[in-house]
Amino acid sequence: MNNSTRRGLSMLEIVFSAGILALIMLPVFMTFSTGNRNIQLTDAEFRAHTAAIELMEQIISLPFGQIKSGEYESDVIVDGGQFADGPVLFKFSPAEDLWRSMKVEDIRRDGKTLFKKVTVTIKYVAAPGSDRIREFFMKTLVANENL
Amino acid sequence: MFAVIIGTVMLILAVSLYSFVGHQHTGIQSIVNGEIAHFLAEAGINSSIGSVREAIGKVMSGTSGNQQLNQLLLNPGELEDICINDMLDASWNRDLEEFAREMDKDASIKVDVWLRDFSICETAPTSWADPAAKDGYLVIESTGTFKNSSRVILVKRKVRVGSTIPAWMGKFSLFVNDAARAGEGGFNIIRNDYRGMITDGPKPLITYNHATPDAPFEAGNMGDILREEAEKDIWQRRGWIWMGGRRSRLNLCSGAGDLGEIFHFYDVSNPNIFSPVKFSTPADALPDSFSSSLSIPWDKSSSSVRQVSYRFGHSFVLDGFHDRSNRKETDAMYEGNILSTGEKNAYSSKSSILHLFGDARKGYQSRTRVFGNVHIAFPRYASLEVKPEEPDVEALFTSVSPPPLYLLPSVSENAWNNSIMIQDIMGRQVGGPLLQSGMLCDSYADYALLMSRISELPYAESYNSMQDVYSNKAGRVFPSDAGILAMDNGLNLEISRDQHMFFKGRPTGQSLLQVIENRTQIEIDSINDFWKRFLNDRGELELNAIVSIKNSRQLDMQIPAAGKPQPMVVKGGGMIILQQGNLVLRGISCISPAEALTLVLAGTGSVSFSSTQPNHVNVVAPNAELGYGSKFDMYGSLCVGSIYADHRFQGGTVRFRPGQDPTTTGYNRYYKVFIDPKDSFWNE
Amino acid sequence: MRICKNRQAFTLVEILVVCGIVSVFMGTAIMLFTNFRRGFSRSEGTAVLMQDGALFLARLRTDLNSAVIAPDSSVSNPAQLSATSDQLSFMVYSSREARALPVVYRYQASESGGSIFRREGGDSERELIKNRVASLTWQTDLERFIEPEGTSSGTLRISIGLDLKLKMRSGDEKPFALKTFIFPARLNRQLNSP
Repeated sequence: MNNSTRRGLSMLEIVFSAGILALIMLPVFMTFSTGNRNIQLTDAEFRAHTAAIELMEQIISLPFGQIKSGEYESDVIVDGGQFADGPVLFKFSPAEDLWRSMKVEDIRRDGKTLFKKVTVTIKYVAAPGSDRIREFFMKTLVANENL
Repeated sequence: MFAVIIGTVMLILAVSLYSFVGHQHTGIQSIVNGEIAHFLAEAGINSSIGSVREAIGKVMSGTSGNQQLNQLLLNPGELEDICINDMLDASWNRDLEEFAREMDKDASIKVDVWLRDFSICETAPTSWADPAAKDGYLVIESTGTFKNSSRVILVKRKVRVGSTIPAWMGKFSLFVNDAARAGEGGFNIIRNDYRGMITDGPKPLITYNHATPDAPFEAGNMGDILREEAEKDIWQRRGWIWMGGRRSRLNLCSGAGDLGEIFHFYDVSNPNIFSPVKFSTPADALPDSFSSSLSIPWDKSSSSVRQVSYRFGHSFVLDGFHDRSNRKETDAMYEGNILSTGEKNAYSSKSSILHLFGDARKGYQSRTRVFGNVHIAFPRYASLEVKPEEPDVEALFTSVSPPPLYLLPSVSENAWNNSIMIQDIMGRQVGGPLLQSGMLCDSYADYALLMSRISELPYAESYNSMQDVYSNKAGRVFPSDAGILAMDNGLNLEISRDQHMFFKGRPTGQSLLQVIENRTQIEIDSINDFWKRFLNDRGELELNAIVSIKNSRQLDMQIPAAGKPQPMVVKGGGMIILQQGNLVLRGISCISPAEALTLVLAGTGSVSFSSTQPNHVNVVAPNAELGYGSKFDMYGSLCVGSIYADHRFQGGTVRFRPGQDPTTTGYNRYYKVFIDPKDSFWNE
Repeated sequence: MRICKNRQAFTLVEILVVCGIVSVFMGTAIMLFTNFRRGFSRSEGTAVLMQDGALFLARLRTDLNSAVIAPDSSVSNPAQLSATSDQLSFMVYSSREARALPVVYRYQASESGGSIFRREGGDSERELIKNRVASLTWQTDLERFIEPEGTSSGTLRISIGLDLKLKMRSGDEKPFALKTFIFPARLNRQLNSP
């Protein structure tokens, strides 16, 4: 580097070090701010996922015959509401800023329904107060155990 | 420099938080993917469990089953985890893949069937080391995969492989835990005549320790049997006998027919010309008075008094016990007071109900190794060989018919004196000597060696005497000098085949029960439940498993049950362990030699036979008593705690099945593979 | 660019410029740093709470998905699954041991933050969440849905409602609240199978 025997630092060196410091710190601090945002985002995501699983589980644990095919929007998927026209009612824990919708389709072979494909879609706000809506969906198969 | 350091530290902190948050971000995602994968796995198992169960059932059904799977399970030694989809024709996976793709291109489901976690379960030669007995699981694994997460749902069924032959009992014909329960001579209750005929009262239980010519399957070939009899070590291939407990004594039955036992000493191949063998005592074993002629007054002293020179020898004849001859009502063997009343009181005149070495017919003599403190008793009739040395007396002497017989009577020490008269058995005056005991023997000790008496021999050593008979040994001595078998209390038995040691140690009823209980595959509550589950509508037993019946009401188990056809046909053999109660056998027949049924009675109680139908069965009841009932025929091994013998005992036969002997490869036919029909999943 | 001047001292201008740049940088740095420190502990706290909560929920869900009604009790009495204020217990089928084992979750409340423990079969308790639980309630609910003109006994549905609040001990962050219902699929299927 510098083979001078001077004891002080030149301005250039100070500027260089400050610059290096800035260079290093900038991404660091940017990381933190995005990290912060990420955490907030994950909280909403987590709640959306929890709501999705809650809905999916209650549908899947029904006997196969009670899983009625169809498309269900957020207006019918409410706590205490009827699932299809069947006797089964929905049961949800309260969740703000999220909307549930679901689609149940048959998978058939040789005239028999072997599986139901259940797709659950959750729309949720990215962060409290924000107006960005994000969507998340989950799907699975339920087998007909009565064959 | 300082800045660089601070910067680096903060960078590290930032990166860790970011990765933590980022990880959490992906963590949530993978939790959800994991859930979906789990649901897929559930869908997989729910949809295919029916076809998987069917495929497994097809493979294990009937006696054919799937060769490959059976071979795998019955192979001796450890079994590594192995996927058996190919053996089951796993068509369900193709469909599952299709359905999964239909749902999402990143989804997949597959269902595999594995044999896992098998371990050899009988490994200790001190109890029983079976090379093929193993426990493990048949596992149905459904794997759901979504994006990068996989979940597996396991459905397990227990698999057990166990032998239905009761361990070392497969090497024995008869095992009696406490033989002398009714006293040392408790078995001696049969009244037979000289020829071994029995007209009333109790009858003998005869054990045949090899395959007799009349066995329904595995019948022995007469030529082979006769040839094998002459082999010194034939006991190694025979069913053994264990008479445990204190000292017991079996009075040998005389006679050469199908109930007689005198073949222990004599060749009885032609009963029509049966005659006892006379053993001549060598001169060097006799007192000095026998070595030279003695001058003694003859017995025809009514005509003239005369001293005649006689030469004496000694011989004896062995016989069995007989209670009465066909001419006399009294105890024929004690007739003529040759055997003393003291002996009569000690031994009685009745013979034993246990005939351990088969019977006297050709092909049915069945000597084997006998364990325990058990002896045979038999009368030894000693006679004096009298030879008058003066020709005229000799001519007179030999012209008498029947020939003069000078039996030496049995005398106790107290009753001995040197003036006891020794005369012709019929008391005739035939030109023989007027003999008194003191003329031949100086002391009781000498006389005791010569006199008639009831002898005892360890049962195991009668094997050696029979060897002399079979090998037509010239110059036989008694007891035999062939030292093949000696009395053995069974402290150290060894059963092995090829290089594998099945058992080493002392067999006990308790440890046998333990080994058998550990093989239990199915537990049933009551006898009724048992019949409902395993008896088919034709009344045949399709067991194919090792079942334990609790029977808390301690009912009697009749086999076959009352009202069902006799004998009960065993289509699929196995083992039935009755925890409590009594066993009553009424006739059991196996359709093939590869099937065997073993009945185990774990508690105290009784085993009895209430029908004369044959029973192809092994009975293990070391705490139970064999009760009286009808005469029975059993093809298999019998293990009981004790035998109740009284005038109602009708006897029968126990025939060892060499096909079940663990030292032969025939033993391998009797394993049963049990796959629990219930899955863990449904927990019904 | 090399300054090869030989001067020994700085000009005033240079010093002023440098001080200005440095102060700007330092100010930003300090501001961001303090922000970061606060944010970090807050983020860390929230992240940790959420992680605890999520893991606990995942574990409980996995256990409940393997829950079964053990064969020796009557089907109509799902009291095998029971929830009291401090204990949630149920039978789980363990593939490892090929039999049903009891699983017990225990909540130990405390002023400074409660803890949740889990015990399986005969093993000893393991601590899942340590001193972070502000409140916890769990309750079981059995519903029956009958077709209006149906003849069958209807569809049963069992669910476990969970209401959990976690907070850090040094609490200036928001507590993490979780409310959800869990529907054990296998248990429900067992209840409804004929």
